[in-house]
Amino acid sequence: MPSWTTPADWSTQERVLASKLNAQLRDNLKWLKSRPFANVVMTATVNTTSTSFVELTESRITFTSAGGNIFMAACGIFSNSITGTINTFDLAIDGTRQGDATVGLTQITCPNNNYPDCLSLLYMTSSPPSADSHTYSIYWKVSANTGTILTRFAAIEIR
Amino acid sequence: MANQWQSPIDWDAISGAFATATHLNEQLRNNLEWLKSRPFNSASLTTKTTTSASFVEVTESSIAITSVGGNMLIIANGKLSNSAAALTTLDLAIDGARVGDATNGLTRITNPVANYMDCIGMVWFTSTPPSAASHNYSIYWKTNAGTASLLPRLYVMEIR
Repeated sequence: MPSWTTPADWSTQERVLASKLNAQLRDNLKWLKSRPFANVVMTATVNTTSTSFVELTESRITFTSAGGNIFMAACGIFSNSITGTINTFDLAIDGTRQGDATVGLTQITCPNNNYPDCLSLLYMTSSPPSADSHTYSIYWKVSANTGTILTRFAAIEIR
Repeated sequence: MANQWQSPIDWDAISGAFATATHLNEQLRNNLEWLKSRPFNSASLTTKTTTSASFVEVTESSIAITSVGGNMLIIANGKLSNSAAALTTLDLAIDGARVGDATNGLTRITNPVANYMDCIGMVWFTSTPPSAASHNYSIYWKTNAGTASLLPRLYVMEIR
């Protein structure tokens, strides 16, 4: 996919060159049509017993963006081996979590042992990451016992 | 919907000649309109029920979009309950082919007591885009007991 080129200021009586049209029109249209994107589909469950935030390394995706806002989405299934546990989830850019320091982006309490619940995380950056390669991933922790996750995760430069 | 997407041309191919109004209408007007208003469709359903223990399509959840070969963003949200303490499994599908796990779908909800209502949220980006053609997008579900009830919304857009 072509890189994004900052739209030029066109001058009066400027001679429009094919090379400039290719950069300004052809390549920027292609970029807008097929924005930077990456996703991962977990095909096996992963467990954690960590009571502090750890990265779900299987969720890690990397792509180069052009300095715009990133839309991240995770969708999956979560359960914990023991009832009454509080399980916390967050999304991160280059290892920096985006949610609350303690409660992340969302929490799930499991009312029964091995209760499967819907995990849905959405996040749009308010301060876009720099125009560079960045890594996006899910972080999680449990209050006790063993948490189990099976999820999909994707990120796209949305604007 | 906006104009059809036109594959961006190499302007070197018309070197020495002037860009015509046809070029500008196809390459600028049509493509900018397409980018502004990408292919999109949605459905807002009334409450649906199922007792099926194997995956079936949620009635009236199928919506069609003609896309140009790009990745699709599919979102479903709503509320789910079950007449019994039960496990309900949900998935999204393209042309009847489910995109989630063969058994576990995209997500699952356990209803710990009868008529316990819960929030569902499913978000899916296609890794392999569907072909440039009309395709049907829908919600699939199953339950292991009782009667599951779902009040869903479904949104589909060609995102890239």
